[in-house]
Amino acid sequence: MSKNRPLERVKISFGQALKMLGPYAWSKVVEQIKTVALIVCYLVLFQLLVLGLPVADAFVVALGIGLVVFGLAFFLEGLFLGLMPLGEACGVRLPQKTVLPVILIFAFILGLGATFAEPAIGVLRAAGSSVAAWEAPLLFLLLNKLSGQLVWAVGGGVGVAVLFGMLRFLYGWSLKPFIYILYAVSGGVSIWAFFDPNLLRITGLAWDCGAVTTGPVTVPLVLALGIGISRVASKSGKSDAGGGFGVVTLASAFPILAVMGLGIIHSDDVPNPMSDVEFCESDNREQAQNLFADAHALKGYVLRHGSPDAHLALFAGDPAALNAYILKLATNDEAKTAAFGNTKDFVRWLLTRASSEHRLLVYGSESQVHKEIAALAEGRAEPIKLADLLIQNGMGALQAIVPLSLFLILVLFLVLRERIQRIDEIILGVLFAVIGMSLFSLGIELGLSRLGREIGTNLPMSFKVVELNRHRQVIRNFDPSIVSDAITSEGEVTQYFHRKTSGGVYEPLPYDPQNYDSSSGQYSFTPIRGPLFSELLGILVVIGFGFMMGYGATLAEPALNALGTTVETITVGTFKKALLMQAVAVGVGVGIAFGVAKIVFDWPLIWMLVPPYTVLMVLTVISSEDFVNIGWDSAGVTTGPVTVPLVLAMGLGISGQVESIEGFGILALASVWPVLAVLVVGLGVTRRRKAEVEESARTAT
Amino acid sequence: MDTVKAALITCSVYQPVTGRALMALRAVGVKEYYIQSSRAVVLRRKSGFLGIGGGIGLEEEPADRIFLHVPASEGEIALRALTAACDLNVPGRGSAIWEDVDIVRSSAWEAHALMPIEKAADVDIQDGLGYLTCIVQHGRGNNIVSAILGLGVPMPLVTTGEGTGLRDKLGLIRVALPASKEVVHAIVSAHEVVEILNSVADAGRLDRIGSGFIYESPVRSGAINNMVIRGQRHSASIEQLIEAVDDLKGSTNWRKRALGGDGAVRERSYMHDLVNVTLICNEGFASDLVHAAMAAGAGGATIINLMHARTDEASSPVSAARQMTELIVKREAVEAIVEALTVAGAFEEATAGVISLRPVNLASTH
Repeated sequence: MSKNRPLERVKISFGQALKMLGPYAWSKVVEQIKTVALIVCYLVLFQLLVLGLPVADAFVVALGIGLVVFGLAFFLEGLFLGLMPLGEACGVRLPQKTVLPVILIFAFILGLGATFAEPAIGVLRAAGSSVAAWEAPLLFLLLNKLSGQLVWAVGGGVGVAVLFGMLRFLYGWSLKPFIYILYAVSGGVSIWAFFDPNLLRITGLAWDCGAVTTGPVTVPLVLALGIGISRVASKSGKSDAGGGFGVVTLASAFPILAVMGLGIIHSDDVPNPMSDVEFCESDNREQAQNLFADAHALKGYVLRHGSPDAHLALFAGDPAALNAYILKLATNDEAKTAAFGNTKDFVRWLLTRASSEHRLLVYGSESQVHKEIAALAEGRAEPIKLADLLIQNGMGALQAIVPLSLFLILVLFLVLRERIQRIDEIILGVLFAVIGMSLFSLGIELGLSRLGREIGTNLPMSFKVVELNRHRQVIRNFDPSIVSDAITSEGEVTQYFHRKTSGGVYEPLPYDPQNYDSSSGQYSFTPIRGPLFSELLGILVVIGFGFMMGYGATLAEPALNALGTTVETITVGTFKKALLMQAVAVGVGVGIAFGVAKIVFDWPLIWMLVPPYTVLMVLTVISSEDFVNIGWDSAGVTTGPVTVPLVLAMGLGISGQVESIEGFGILALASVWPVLAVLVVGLGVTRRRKAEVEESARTAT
Repeated sequence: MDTVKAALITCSVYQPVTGRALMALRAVGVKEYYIQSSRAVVLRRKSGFLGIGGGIGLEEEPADRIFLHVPASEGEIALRALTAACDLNVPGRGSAIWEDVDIVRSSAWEAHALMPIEKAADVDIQDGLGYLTCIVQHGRGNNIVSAILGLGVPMPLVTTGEGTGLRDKLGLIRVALPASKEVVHAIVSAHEVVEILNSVADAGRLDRIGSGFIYESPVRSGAINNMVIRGQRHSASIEQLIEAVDDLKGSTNWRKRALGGDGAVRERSYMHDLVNVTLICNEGFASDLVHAAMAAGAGGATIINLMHARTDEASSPVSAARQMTELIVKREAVEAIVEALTVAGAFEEATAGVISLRPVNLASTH
């Protein structure tokens, strides 16, 4: 190969280096401030002005947002310096230096590895923590006991997707047949699942798994890989199979089938949805047991989440047996851990959710119960440990980026025997990506997610009364003699008492005898707010909020940023990044608005997916290959580390307040509408261009 | 240095027309060609809404730049075939030009005879043209394009590449300097070259070190796209009128215009008697080869990604993914640089290099 002399280095001083680095770094940070500003300002202003609530832990939220900005700047720079050149180098060399089976094995391992590396699946698991075992047994099983199998199924789906993606580029296959077949089958299975009460509930999970798989590391990598392979494999000089795009689309579609398949395999192992009491009865015990690791775990779950009747049903209606079990838990740490996961959670449950009778049974006297409750209240407010969070997010970033990068470097070095050009830039890029991902993950946890959770929980106050559970209060040593009577204009007698706040203000509060625990002397209550508007207007406000949040969050997504930059580069600036991002953001906003409506009105997800996907199929037929590839890929990149926590928090908050069984499906809806938006834009652009060229010919003749 | 005379045919067309160009190449028997995505920029007259927002603005369209080497004697066949197949005599379709080059004999290139196609005999081909190339920082391409369109030069094309030179001599701090470049291509009338160079250099502030580089090469003949402004309402377009006068006059020499009328354009000095050493190789090798050339005395260069395609199924060491770089050097340095490239492995099978040489009439001094 080359036998040249190394280039003579030019030495620059420290001052000169700073002068070069300053504007470079500043421009990157300013770019990210612009992308994040909209969603942050919108969320804060909505909380303050519409909901009329202060932003809790404002300093922490502000710190978090700052970390998101710097983190995104580092991460994106790291992607373009390190990860994408690695992917592209592999893509260019693989078809030239290896055989087809090696390429396919590489592709499958990359897809599988990327799924395990990226933490998106963990987000869905956290979302599933609110699903009740008896309301959606199969969903509960997949998200808890079988979560490992779920990740493997999704990973396998992504691996197969990347494999087919590479085959597409090598043989010049169009993406369109894949879309028709995959989504027709997925749609067909989902419609069939509609008639099974268990499978119905996992449809939302399956489609959401497809939406979250392709994260901020996987997308740029498979994009770059695809671009590299596509360049080498092209026969006509033009990209016959989308120019490297399209893998993300497949990686969003195959997991849907994989998860539905997993659900179908296990559907006979679980009971049908039923009440918690029926779930605990002995007739259903064997199937109910399948949802948990063992009998202790089942009992612990029912104690934590079930009604008092369900607790009794667990012990065949025998209160003495129930009491004996609770006593056993109280005295046996092993049993506590088996049932509750750890000893602290048992204590917390006993003092906050258990009956007063059980508390007395365990602690022996009311005074002891009072002491324990006081101790729990003091220990509740734990300070945020920034260092721990940074380490945790740093480890997550390392796990997401380093193994994949090492895999690509090893393939280049050992399999392809390539000298890696500019290895120093690539190492720097990987380092930037790790730092960036650590910072923005931490920032999202401290800032955006916290803000999103708060708004998500409080949002339904727009149209209904909402209990502000975060502001739940306990008055110790409550004296019932201070309670007075009041009468409404209809002659209804109600009760109230006065409380002196820490600010010295006396505020009247409604009195509910059920909230008074005579054994502990505590009166606990949850402040309520809302409805802020009429029901219809309030629902419209919530739906409108969903649109704006989806729009703003999408603009901040790093994977979409990377896709937009790549599209603009590949098209030499004729398809602007800003146009693509705006089209996608509007589409996501519309999708999330529909998702919110789905939860509020409890519409089946399949009703909301079939019409847009039908229109999408028609648009796909009439659109050009380039726009089909870019449009469908843009759907796969939207739901990422910025959008997913916000959307899930909002979905959980709303579904919790409207007592919906589960809040899945919003992400799936957020994935279909951006494709529609991009294809519509693409059709308009393509037709105008063709018309102008034909017009010039007509003018000449 | 052993070289072969050849013709470099470059065809720039809007993407909807690309398919016809490729069919024409097959029809005449071309075995291989290169294709590069680009964007064509035109002016568009906008009517606005109720009289608001109207005027003339820039409009970008995807285009393809197709080029190929054929034996010198076959240049006219290829040029006429492309002109006929793509209707390049019609404004708004594209352009095609023929430049004389010398290809180093060791290059991975095979000469083939071509077959003329009948309808190509009637197309109009012009002479008296020049080919302008301007390399600037990424994001500044449209400044150059605006200046070029403002001078009435039609269909400037913008491609992208990665710069080498000073950046490669720095350490890791080089990441702070953007490598991405935009390369603007335009076909101009030979008698207006200096005035256009001066105006473009002014618009792009090319006299500042590191801001860009511009040069002009001679064109033997071509068919050029006359459309500058789209969306005109005249029954006959300005371009049709110009074409009619060209036919009457028999050349474009009548088209003298007062350049620099809006403000004084600075006269500049340019370098002469230069050679464009164009290297095309398989992707991944260009960077090392450019370093070899730079070590032998060449200045920096911009590396551009290309796609290579064959019209037959013959196997070839030439990959579909290729890179091209153009080194503008003094005539006396050509041999040393070609030698350095040869030693660096330009003609090895893995690299499959093609080195061609063509004259550069004028080039900026920075």
